[in-house]
Amino acid sequence: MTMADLGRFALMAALILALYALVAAILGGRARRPEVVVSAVRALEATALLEVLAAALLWLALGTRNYAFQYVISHVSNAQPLLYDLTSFWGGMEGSLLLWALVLSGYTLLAVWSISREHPRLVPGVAAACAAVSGFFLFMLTAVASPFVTTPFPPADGRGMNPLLLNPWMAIHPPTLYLGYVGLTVPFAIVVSSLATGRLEDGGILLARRWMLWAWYCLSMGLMFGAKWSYVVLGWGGYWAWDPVENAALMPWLVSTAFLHSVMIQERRAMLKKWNAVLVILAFGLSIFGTFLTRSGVLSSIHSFTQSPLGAFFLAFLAFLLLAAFSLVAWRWESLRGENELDAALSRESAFLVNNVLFLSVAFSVFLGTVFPIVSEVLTGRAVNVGPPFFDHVVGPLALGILVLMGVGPLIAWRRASALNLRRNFQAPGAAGVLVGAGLLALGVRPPGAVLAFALCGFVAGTIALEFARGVRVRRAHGSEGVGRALVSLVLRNRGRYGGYVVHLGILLLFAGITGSSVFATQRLVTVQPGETTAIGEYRVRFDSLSQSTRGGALVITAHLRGTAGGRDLGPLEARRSLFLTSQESTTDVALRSTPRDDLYITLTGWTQDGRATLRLLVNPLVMWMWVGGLVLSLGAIITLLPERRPAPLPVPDLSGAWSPGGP
Amino acid sequence: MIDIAIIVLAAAAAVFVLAPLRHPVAASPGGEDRDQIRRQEDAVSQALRDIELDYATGKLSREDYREFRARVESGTETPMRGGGSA
Repeated sequence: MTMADLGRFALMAALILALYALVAAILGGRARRPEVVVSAVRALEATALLEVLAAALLWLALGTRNYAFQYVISHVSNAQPLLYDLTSFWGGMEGSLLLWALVLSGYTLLAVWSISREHPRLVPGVAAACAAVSGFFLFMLTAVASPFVTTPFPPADGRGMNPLLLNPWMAIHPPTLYLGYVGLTVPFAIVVSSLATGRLEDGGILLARRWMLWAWYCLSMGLMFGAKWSYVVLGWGGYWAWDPVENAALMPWLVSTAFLHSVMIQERRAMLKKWNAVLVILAFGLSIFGTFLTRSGVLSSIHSFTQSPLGAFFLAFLAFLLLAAFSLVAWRWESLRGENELDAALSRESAFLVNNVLFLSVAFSVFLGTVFPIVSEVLTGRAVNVGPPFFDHVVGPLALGILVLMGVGPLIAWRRASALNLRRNFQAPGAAGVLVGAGLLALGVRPPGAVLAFALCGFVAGTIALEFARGVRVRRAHGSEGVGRALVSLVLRNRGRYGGYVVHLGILLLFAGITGSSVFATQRLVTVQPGETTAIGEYRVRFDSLSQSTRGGALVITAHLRGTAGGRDLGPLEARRSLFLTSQESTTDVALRSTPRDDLYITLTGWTQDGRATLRLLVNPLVMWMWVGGLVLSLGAIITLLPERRPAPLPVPDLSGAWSPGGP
Repeated sequence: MIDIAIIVLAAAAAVFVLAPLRHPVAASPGGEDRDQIRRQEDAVSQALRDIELDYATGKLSREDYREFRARVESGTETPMRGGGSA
């Protein structure tokens, strides 16, 4: 018996326990036998422990470079830094499936423990649904893609990871994304449990919302980390390429964003129960679909997909899940009927409904563009790629629509808005938007899409500022708080609402960064001699020399540069190209100077024996605001995730209108 | 050594998982219903706060404010009404 045998045993035992948990949870729940449900939960706890053991064994093998393991041979090499030996855990298919199972077990236990306090009747269903998903991944790990396959003749060195993955952003991008992907299992399990048991009160969906919010936050951060990696490592000057792997993460993010808005209607008006259940199921289905896309090989070719059983298993599992979940929705259709109706077309509910239509339209467009090569290859034998222009043209206008709603929604009251109040509320934010648009036109900015986008950003920023200002004014009208204290109290006492506005502010900054960098980016490709200076925008870059060195099994060519901006010295800059001799791969180190206004981005694309260098220079405006937007989004999400205290009603206002801005 | 570890692990897992089956537990009804009532109270309170805030921040007319507040207070409109068992 070897360490690999122990790993295989751990996964096989975990699979058996997950299947036991599935059966015991269903039987215990149906027969109302708590001891059987407790046994099922214990099986899930034991499953988690065994997965921890399997993960520890794999990490040990990776950390000690035990080349008896096929997985270690494929992802570790003697020249690779230890940190990346360890992060290669999720660098390959088998390891990432184990990470899926491991994270799911952690979430399952957290969910079961927390749900058992407030919704004990949901526990059997949640345990069963999580055990079913866990069982599928453990089956894949034991029967299809085991990380514990060994070789009788271990080599002296491994192949190592793809050099492009040897980057801190790529070290944290996959686990963060997985925290999001896998996190979508819990809301799915809660909804399935509610539907299966007939416990359809809204408390279940609100519980699902809490988990969805966490998953959404992790997906957001995973997407941001991936964009940052793409920007600083791939060297093409951008951060988003509508790559199918990126789209796979974007789709569940879009659907979960739609849910986080529409669930507010259920919370306040007990409406849209069916719709919210469908969104939770869709978001989870898309997370499995994303894992299928990235792990089945279907993206490279339909032929490679059919050569591996992995894709077929994923598709079958996805079909089973969706069929089972939607059957439950159909079964409970009547019980999911809303308890109130829309009061008026002009209401926040309506704004959220349009918001949902737009988010789902974007998600569907991205889905269509992503699967189009697969569908075309199946139908015609030739994969036709729709490419970024398709996504830009379809998603761009829809995104502008979402931006409009980000500004409109907060200004409209729940239930019904009067035309008078609406006019009054739109004045200041509308003026902010017009000012921004007119200011840009006066400065000579001409692309109409960009002017419109920035004007809308001004409008939304005006809305957010107005909401905070009015909230603070209301608090101060009822006490002696200073502005700062009133602001903090306002946010802490209405975390969902104002945390959401902070998230909107983050999205706004992201939107401004995307617009600025995609519309106004400039670039030059130049071949320069040592001592020669080239210019782009207000930047001047002098190429000093080339140098050559070796590092970690790679030949590293460095272009030494010096930049100035408007006569101000930026100091030395270095653009590198690393050529990995064994893997025939190359990586790029970008020379990057980032300011709030723009990024100077230089890559070394070629060189000659006589010391000349070919440089690609880009000026990308406003990119820094994207990363700042990510931080602001994080802050908003954290505020929203903090548990709310039981709300105390605000004092009943004096209807004489003496203080109320709402007046007659 | 690893053989022994596997046997010990398998036995421990079996004992740990099956032990609760030897001690049947009676279901304890009632707690969840109390929680449900508490959640509904919270939801009503939250709905009233929303109406107050919408009015105070100028999004509702006085007439609409009075009507919506009365609807929630009288129970004509109940946010988060428990669907109960289907």
